[in-house]
Formats: sequence, C-alpha cells, structure tokens
Amino acid sequence: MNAGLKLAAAAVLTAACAGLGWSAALKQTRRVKALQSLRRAVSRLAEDMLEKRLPLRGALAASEHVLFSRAAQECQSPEEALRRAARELSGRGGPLDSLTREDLAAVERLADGLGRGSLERQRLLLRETTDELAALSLAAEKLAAERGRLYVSLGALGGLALAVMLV
Amino acid sequence: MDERAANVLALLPGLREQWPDSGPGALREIRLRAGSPVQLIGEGGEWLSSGAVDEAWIARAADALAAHSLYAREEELRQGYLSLEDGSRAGVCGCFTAERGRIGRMTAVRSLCIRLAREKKGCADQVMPRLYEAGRPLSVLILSPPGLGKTTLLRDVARQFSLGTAWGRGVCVAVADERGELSAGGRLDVGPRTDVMSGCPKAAAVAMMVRAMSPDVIATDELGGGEGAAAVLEAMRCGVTMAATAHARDLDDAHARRALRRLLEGGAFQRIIVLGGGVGRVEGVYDGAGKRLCSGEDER
Repeated sequence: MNAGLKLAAAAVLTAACAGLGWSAALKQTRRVKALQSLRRAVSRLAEDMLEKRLPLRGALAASEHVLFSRAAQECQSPEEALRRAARELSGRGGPLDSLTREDLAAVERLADGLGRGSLERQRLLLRETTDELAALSLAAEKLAAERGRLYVSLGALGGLALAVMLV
Repeated sequence: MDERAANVLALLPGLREQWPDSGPGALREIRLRAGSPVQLIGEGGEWLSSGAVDEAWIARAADALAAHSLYAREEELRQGYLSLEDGSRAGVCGCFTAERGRIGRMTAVRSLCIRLAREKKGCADQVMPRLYEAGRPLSVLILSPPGLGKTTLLRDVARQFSLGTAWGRGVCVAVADERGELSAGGRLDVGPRTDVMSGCPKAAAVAMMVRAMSPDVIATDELGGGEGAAAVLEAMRCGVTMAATAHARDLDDAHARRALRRLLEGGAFQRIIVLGGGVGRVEGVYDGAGKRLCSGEDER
C-alpha cells in the first residue's frame, strides 16, 4: 500500500471513530431532550387531569406525547397500556430509545398509580413524577455536557491510535 | 347475557368467569361488599360468588367503573354514586372525611351497588293512552320504591312523546339528565325530537332548558329536593309539560314528602303512575286529584 493511500485510510479511520464518539454523545443529548419532553407532557397531563378534570383517556390523548397518546388508545388498564407503550417506544430505533433503565423506572412508577384512587393521590403521583423527571433531566444534561466532548475526543484518539498502528 | 351486563362484568376482575350457566336471568344489579361474596341479582333471582372480595378489589373495581378517572368524579362520589358510560349507575358506600360539617373526600370505597341501565322500548305502551288530552301530552309523575323501573319507564315515555304516538303528534322534549342515566350520552334512545343536558344539577338544567330550548316537555329523573321541585313548578308556569319520577311507594308516601306534596297539591301533575308488585309493573294510574283512573290489570 503506498503512503498516500495509508494516510487516506488513517484519516477515514480517525473520522469514523470520532463519528462513533459523536454518536454516543448525541445519544446523551437525545436523552436530555426526551426527558424534557416527557416532563412537559406530565405537567400538561397534571393540568388536564387535576385542573380541567378531563377523564384519563382524554387527558392522555391531549398530552401530545407519543408515550401517552399510544397509552390512550387502549385505556382498559392504564397501567398495562403505559408499560406496554414505554416498552415498545424505548426499543431499538424507537422514539424513546435514548431513555435509560432509570428513566423507564420513573415511567413505570407513574404507570403503577395513574388513574388509581382520589384526586389527592393523583396530585401527589404527578408531582412526584414531574420532580423525578426534572431531576433526571438535570443530571442527564450535566452528563451530556461532561461526556459529550469526552466521547468525541476518545473516538478521535482511538481512531488516531488505530491509524498509527496501521500506518 | 346482554351486552350492557357483559361490559360491566368485564370491568370486574374474575367475575365473568364465575358467572353460572344457570344464572339469575337477565342481570339487574351487582352488589359488591368488602369481606363478602359478590351478589348478582337478576330477573330470576340472585347468585352469590364462591369467595369474598376485599377492599383492594373493590377499590380496583371502582377505578375501572369510573374509567380510571375517580379523581374527576369527586362531586359524584360526594353524592354517593358514580355514573357509568352506558347509563348504568353505581351507588358508592365507604368512608368519607367531614369538612366543616360537610361531606369531604371519600377515603375508602367499601361497597358498590351497580344498577344496570335497562332500555325497554315499548314498556310505556300500556300507559301512553292515559298521558294525552286532546292530542297534547299531560304532565306525569312516576312513583315507586327504588329498583322497580321508574327510569326505564320515564325514558320510554320521553321517547314516545318525542316520537309521537297514535294519541298525539311528536313534540320537542328536553331531558335534564343530571346523572346521565336517561340518555347515557346518546347511547339510549330518548326520541328524535329530544335535547339532552347531562351532568348539570337538575334545577339549573330545567331553568336553562326552558330559557334556551323552548321545549314542549321536560323529562327529569328523581325529583324530591326543594330546588328541583321549585324549578319544575317554575317550568310548568311557563307552559312546559313535565315528565318526572320520584321515590315513593304510593300517593300517600309522596304526600308525606314536603317537596312532592307542594307539587301534588299545586296540581303540577295531571297524571301519576304508581309502579308496584314487581319490576316495571304498573300498580295504577291516577289523575292530579288522586282519583284512580285505572289499574295495571285493567290496562293489560
């Protein structure tokens, strides 16, 4: 292999590894956005349920969030519907695939109590969920800032190391 | 089993599977009590489940009956009932908090009495000829103890007034359906010339409909309170014909209730139908002065 070709291969390898790092960093950013959007949807759900007193199915449908809209389609048991929707949407390539196990646990806790019992119980549940999502979102934001650059740098460095070995 | 009963049973976990082959006929009522077996009451008798249900099961059932929206139904709960989407009603009993002498929040549901809405088109056929004079509908009050079919009869009377019969043409009917039992949000037939206002306290609904809808007839369920009676009297002074129901075993019982006595002595109703002796059975039809016009046997 001539030197020019080797240099070109090294550059491509470095760029590819940096791209992988970039993609990992992007997932962190997507997680932040997903958590923020979920928190906004829970706030809206709280307003529709607790202030406007919309029935659960109507409130879920009005939330304009893919998770709740899907759960609203089968409201026989909101608990099962929400769990199923979260499972499906967080699968590989799904709109919520950036959420971590910890994030999904917060959704499951919401599913456990949503539509059960009195107004006070729902108020408490929705407040706790909003607070939890806000905390998760803040932590994810911090993590994304810290790790985003790190992942890109590590990717580029890893690529360079491989390129050096190759050349 | 009819569709309505099957839909309600489907909301109560495990009950549908236990339903006996030789059940108590068409289902009318389901009674759930924490610590006791489920009691199903049909037209042919009653059936008790083999095991008891607990408070958590009742709470889940109440959630399901309220379409998982109990939080939005606290006013209904305060009045001791839940309206179901199909026009059925669940009476609720349990533990409430008291706030300044008023009923506060419900903290535990311990019993539910689900009364399934029945739609029997034509069940008013035998009384309809008595409910017209010179082709115009007369004001009618239907009396009976709970569970004998007042609401079912009222719904059919409203439907026939609206549709028109051999004794009079169809007229505009307005239904003040506070608990959603008469029309079930359009699922039950109340006639082609009928407007329904549901979820609104009946006194306010009657007054609004007189002003806004210019009805010929207003139908409303379960009169008894002073405000409802006053609204009915006011509507009648405006020339509206009333069709209503009230809890009372007979005319004497009705006179013993202050709000009803006021209506009866004021000549508000030209016809009073008393149900008795079985579900949907007409014991007698009376004129406004209490004179018996016919018995159920005569009409049959």
